[in-house]
Formats: sequence, C-alpha cells, structure tokens
Amino acid sequence: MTLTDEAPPTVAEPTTASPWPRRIAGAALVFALCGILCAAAFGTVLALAATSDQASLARARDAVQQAAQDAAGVLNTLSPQDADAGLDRWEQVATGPLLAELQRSRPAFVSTIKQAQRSTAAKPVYAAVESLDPGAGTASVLVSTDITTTPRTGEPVTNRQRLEIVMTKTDQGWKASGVRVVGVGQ
Amino acid sequence: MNRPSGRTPSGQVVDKPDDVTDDVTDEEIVTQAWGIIDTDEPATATHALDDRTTTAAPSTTPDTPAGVRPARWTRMRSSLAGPLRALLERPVRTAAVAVVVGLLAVAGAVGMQVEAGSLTGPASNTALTDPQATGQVISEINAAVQRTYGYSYDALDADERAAQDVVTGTFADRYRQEFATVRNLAPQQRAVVTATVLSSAVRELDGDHAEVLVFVDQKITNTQVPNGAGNGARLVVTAQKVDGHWRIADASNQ
Repeated sequence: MTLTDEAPPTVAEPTTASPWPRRIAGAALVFALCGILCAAAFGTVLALAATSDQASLARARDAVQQAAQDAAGVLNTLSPQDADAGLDRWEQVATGPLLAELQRSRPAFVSTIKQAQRSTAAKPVYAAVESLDPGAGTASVLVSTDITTTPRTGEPVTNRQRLEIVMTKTDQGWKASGVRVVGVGQ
Repeated sequence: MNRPSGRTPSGQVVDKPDDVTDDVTDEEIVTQAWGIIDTDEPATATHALDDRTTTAAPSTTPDTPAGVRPARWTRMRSSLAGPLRALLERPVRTAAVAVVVGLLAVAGAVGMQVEAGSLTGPASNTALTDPQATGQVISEINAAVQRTYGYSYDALDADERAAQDVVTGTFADRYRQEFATVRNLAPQQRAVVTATVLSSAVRELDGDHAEVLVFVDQKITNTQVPNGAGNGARLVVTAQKVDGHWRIADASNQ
C-alpha cells in the first residue's frame, strides 16, 4: 500500500462537496460543546449553592419566619360558626406542648366560643426571627399581630398584639410549640 | 530523509519525532480530518505529500505547542479524527442533533442558574446567618431605642445629646422636632419617660442597612400620673450603619 493509492478519495471529498453543511455542522458542534460547558459550570454553581451552610441557614430562617407568621394568624382566628374546623386548623400548625394544650382544652374552647358568640380574626403584620438553632430544630419568632374581636352585638375591637412564638421543626415543617403574649411591663 | 510529520491545527508543518510509529494510514486520517476542518485549505492529501517534502526544513514552527510536543498532538488528533469525520460525513443530521443538544444544555444551564439563585437568594440577607453582625445590630439598636424614647425633665440637654448620637437622616429631623415639644411640656409636668426593650429581632441585614422589630415598653411618670402608666409599642426600626455603628434611620409603631 502506497500513499498515492489512498490519496484520491480524500482529495475528492472536501473539494467536491460544498463546505457549508460541514461548516454549519462544525459550528453546531461548537455550540453544543459551549452549551454543555455552560451547563457544567452552572451545575457546579448549583451544587455549591445547595450545599452552602450559609444559604441553608438563610432558607431555614425565611421558612421559620413564614411559618410563625402563618401560625400567628391561624392560632388567633376562630369563629363560632366553624369552631371545629378552626380548631382543626390550630392543631395543624401546632406541635409539642402547644398541641397537647390545645387538644386538652379543645372541649372548653368549643363551649366557650359557642356561648360567647364572639369571633376573632388575626392579621399578622410583621415578623422577624429572634433566634434560630437549626441543629436542635428550634426557633423563636416575634410576630406583630392585629387581632380583631367581633362580638355578637357591637363594634369590632382590634388589639395590637405582640407575640413571641416558639417554633419547632417537625417532619411536616416548622410548627408552633409555644405562644407567649409579650404584655406591657413584662 | 523521509521522516513523517504532522500538521498543527493552524496548518503549520511540524516535525514528527522518530519515536512515533510510522503508520501511514493513521497519518492520513489525521490529515484528512484536519483538512475537513481547515476548509480554507481543502487539499489534505497533497498536504500529506507536501509534509514529506517540506520536512527537509525542520522546526519551521519551533515555538508552537505542537512543535514542542508533536507526538502527543498526533496521537490526540488520531483519536479525535475518526469520530469527528464520521459526524461531519452527515452534516445535516449532526448539525440538527448538535443544535438540539446545545439548546437543551443552555436551557439546563439557565434552569440551574435560576435554581441556584433561588437557593442563595435568601443568603444576601445575613440576619442570623452572621451572628456577630446580627448581635451588633440588636445591642446597638436596643440602646438607641431606649435612649431615643426615654427622657427625664431634669436632664433634657443630656438626653437630647445622647439621642442625637444614635439617630440619622430624616429620623434625626423628626427627633429634633418632637424633642422641641418635649422641652416645652416636660419641665412643667415633671415628666420622666423610661423606655425598656423587651425583645427585638433582626428581619433584614444587608451591609449597612437593617430592619429590626423591637417590642418596647414606655413607662411615663408625670404630675397627672404620679404612679406611672405604661404602654407597649411594636417598633419597626430601619437602621443605618454610620461610622461602624448602627443608628435609627426610621421607626414606626406598626
């Protein structure tokens, strides 16, 4: 086998065919390569973001703040029309000692609210996380909550409440395990 | 002298050292593949022949990487040449597949970037994630609130001076205006107001800016309420760091 024997087909190929399809294919290959490199780079960025302690702590902080704000609203809202559903909602956002207390006092709550015919509606205004221990799964959150009480007869009254909610991490996310009203002079 | 040689990607002729196997077929595939890429110089086989004639003048490009390590180049090109040529033999299909792969990869990259952004987004707020900075905000703003919201009718000058060190911006102007009223009324009422912070929490902390929720009690004693009366406030304080210390830039009882 000599070199000249093999030469003609290789000469013919690039010269007879138009170079454009190949140029475009080459450009497309370069584009695909760039895309893959890009994806690899951002994959690394994502992996770093997902494993960053700082970022996961920040996410936990934001999650517990939102959960506490929601719990403050739910736990201060109850109307005699659907007391049972309202108390079910209370139990859904509570855990630990608070849940035990709610379950123990549930019959008393129901009879009280049905007698009083007074409904309360809470609107959380502002929340901020006071402390957070991600290892222990505990946090405490300050929540400014406006609680409007509407009696059977008469005008509604809004009480500007200061709440400190103790939160505990559960399998279903952050839940309230204690609620303290920060009263004047405490 | 009939030493084989290879070509660099730029089409330059380089020497192939003697330790490289003198495989003519391999050499041809290499030159063909580069000939396809180098569409400006399509005649690959003639180059292969040319190489043999021009090797008489060795080291024409001694400064190129390929000139330094021609053996590695040749082997790499040999291993790349086959698949690359196969791909370029069906350019339309290759282009279509490559474009789809490229678009998917770019879409994936964008998606991952967005996801990473949403994961690290909350981290720009360093409240609690930077315990030292958070602690400084808490202690300095607690002190600032207690100074600003408390006064004693018999020490108004000192109270105002102390408060002016911990306020800034529009809140400083507001404080001056309100303190002018206090100066008029406090002495005749023998008014003493004590502000006590019960709890506070940083909601936002980003560099020199912070937002803090402060539960504060004010105890007021004057001629009308000699035994004192209390009220509680829920202050949302906008804090600004000035010369390394936090000051109240705005506050509202929300």
